Amino acid sequence: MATEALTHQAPAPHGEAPEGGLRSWITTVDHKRIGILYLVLTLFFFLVGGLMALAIRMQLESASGTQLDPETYDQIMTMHGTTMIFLFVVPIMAAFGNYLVPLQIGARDMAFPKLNAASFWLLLFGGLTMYAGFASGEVADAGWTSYPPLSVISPGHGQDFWIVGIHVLGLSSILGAINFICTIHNMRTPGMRLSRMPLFTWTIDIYSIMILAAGPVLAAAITMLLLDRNFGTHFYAGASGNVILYQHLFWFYSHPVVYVMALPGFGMISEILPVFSRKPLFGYKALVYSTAAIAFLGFLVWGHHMFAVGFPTWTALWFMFASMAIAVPTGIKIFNWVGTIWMGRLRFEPPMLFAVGFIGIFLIGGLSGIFLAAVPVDLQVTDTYFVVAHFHYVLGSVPVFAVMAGVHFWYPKITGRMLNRSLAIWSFWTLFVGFNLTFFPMHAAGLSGMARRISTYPTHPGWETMNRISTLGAFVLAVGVLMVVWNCVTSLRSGRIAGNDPWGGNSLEWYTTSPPPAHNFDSLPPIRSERPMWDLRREQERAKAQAAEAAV
Amino acid sequence: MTSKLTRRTRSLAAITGVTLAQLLLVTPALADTATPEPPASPPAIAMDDVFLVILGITITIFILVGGWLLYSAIRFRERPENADIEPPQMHGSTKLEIGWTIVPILIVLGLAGYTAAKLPDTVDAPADSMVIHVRAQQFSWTVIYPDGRKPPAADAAKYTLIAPVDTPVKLELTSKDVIHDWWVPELGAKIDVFPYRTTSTWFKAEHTGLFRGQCAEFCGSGHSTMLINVLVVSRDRFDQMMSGGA
Repeated sequence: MATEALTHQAPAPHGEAPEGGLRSWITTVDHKRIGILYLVLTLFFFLVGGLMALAIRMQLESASGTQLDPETYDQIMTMHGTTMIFLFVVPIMAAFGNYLVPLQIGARDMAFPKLNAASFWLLLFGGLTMYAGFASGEVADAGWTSYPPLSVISPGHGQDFWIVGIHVLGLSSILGAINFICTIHNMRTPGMRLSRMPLFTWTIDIYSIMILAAGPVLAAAITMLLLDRNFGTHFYAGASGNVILYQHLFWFYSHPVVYVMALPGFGMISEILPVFSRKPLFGYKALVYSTAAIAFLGFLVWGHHMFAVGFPTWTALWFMFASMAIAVPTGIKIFNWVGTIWMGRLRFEPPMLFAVGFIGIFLIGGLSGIFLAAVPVDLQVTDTYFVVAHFHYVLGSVPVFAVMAGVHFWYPKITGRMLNRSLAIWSFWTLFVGFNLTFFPMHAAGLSGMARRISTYPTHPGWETMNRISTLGAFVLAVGVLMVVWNCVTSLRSGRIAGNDPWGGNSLEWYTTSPPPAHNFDSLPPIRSERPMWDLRREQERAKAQAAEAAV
Repeated sequence: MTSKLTRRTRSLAAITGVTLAQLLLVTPALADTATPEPPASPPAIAMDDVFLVILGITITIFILVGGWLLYSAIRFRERPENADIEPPQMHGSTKLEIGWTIVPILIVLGLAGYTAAKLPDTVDAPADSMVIHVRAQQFSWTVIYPDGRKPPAADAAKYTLIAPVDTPVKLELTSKDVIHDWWVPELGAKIDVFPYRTTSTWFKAEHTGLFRGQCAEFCGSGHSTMLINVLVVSRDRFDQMMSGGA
């Protein structure tokens, strides 16, 4: 509200006033509407993936769980991972990217609006293809990693639906990536040098470059899988095939994708902390360089997922060293974030709570990663619940805390209304407690010898306590998610009107109205730093002071 | 306004509480060993040594960095007396950046060096090891002892593998169908088992007894049931048991 007076007012009725009908949504090429469609769809997939997680947790609640038979368990376990990664965390970053990148760089839209719409519809159809097997009961059941030969001999067409679905989704994300890169590098408003670009836009740029480099490799890997399954080739299967080749190709894609999912989350945190600390980002350049370093190193470490295949010593050592090296730029990020809030004036509005909570949770996930990088320890804990705990602390924390921070931060911009503040704070604490209850005991379960992807453990009744805590936590987590959903839905009507800039934001999206008009901006302020809105407020204050002086 | 701030203070205190409770809850499980029971074979002991070193380092880092985060969050929150003061507009510090780049690099180099030194113990079997062949299939293991020796059928049904104590044993493994993984936590490293390939792992059990493990690579609907029971017996007893099949 502080900057209401200096940001421009809602434009008079305009030629392209948005229509509300279904048709206008289906045919839209407006990046904001596409962003909203992406958001709604990916959050829907999140709920579906979450329901599958609850089914898994109910099955594991007792040592001889009978809720799911082993075949169904395998299908649900496979689709939970696939849904969360391919249909939720990767594309929800595109959702925010779509909505925010043009606004943050002062552009009217994405470089290729129709291509943008195509990316969204491919996401929907890719998801439907992947789920198509549920209609006939043929669902992929070889795990989200789908290692051959298990995935080659998997009966029915579930695995084929999975492969084709991933192809369609890959196309969606590759088209999206091209669009983001073209937009960011060609459509920045004058004055918006790369060195003044908001961190979130930076991370979307690097996200896109990583998708472009890694995506085609996965496409190749699963194409060969499809051929092995249906046309008798022996890329992986049989005496002449190389069964480990798939793992190299798969992880050459899937390890960078860990950072594809995490980096835009880091970008959101880097946007939110300065606003609520009322300080500039500490070490802007260091944060950009460390993002690039993580992306680069991310392509060199895939082998740490495969230590158990029995690498030659030097190969194992290389992958260990490169993986440990990622701790350095990741540490730089965390240090600069804490440096940003140091000496600030912290306002713990909901987005800030989520952001600070994210740093704490991610710290745990980062540190547990060091165990997995060290080959000897990895050979003990890999493929156990320790790994499950680790990747939920790094990858689960991104959607549950970083993206939620983003949802609470940008909801007023997207809808024009504020979320209910106390409900938002309650949902943060529910999610925080639920998350730790669910995933922290999994470290202990793994160290107690519990392998991942098992559906019963009758010979180890001792694991039940830890599993019960996790199951309880999963339901707390589910309640937290529903609280956020409820808040988002009800605030659409009942939320307080947000105004252009409810938080005292730094970047250009806060200059325009909430929600922004179809063309985004009538005018733009001068860009002299990475905080144009902060500069504008400063200028205004100075002008006021001068006017007051002149009056005396 | 005051009540609002107390509430904030309380929520921040709650973070501390929740974190500490978590740590207390799992410390017994974490601080012990990397294996369910104490490790009983050189590779498992080497792995456990590295585990404990990393645990020490990571817990120290967690307390320092987490403490710094928590202190900053509480110390610098907005209060009525500072609400109107603009915080210092620091854009960064090259000295600090260099510092917190170099210190982690040194930690990583040290840790990588130490771990690399421990790696041979974990994976390299001594040359004089007894070689036992293992074949995996959905969802069981078949063990072929040297010189065509066999344990009595009743024992073979009960135990996946019978091995002599204090003897280096090298397992050479291959699979009949999909990928499996041999894993007995207290004895040593996991090793994937592939069709058309042979991989190996080794152990030297330090005491007799039953060691339990299971297949650690998802291998299909019976994966949960693909257990491993290794019975370690004295050398005399081993020779005695194996004489039955010779």
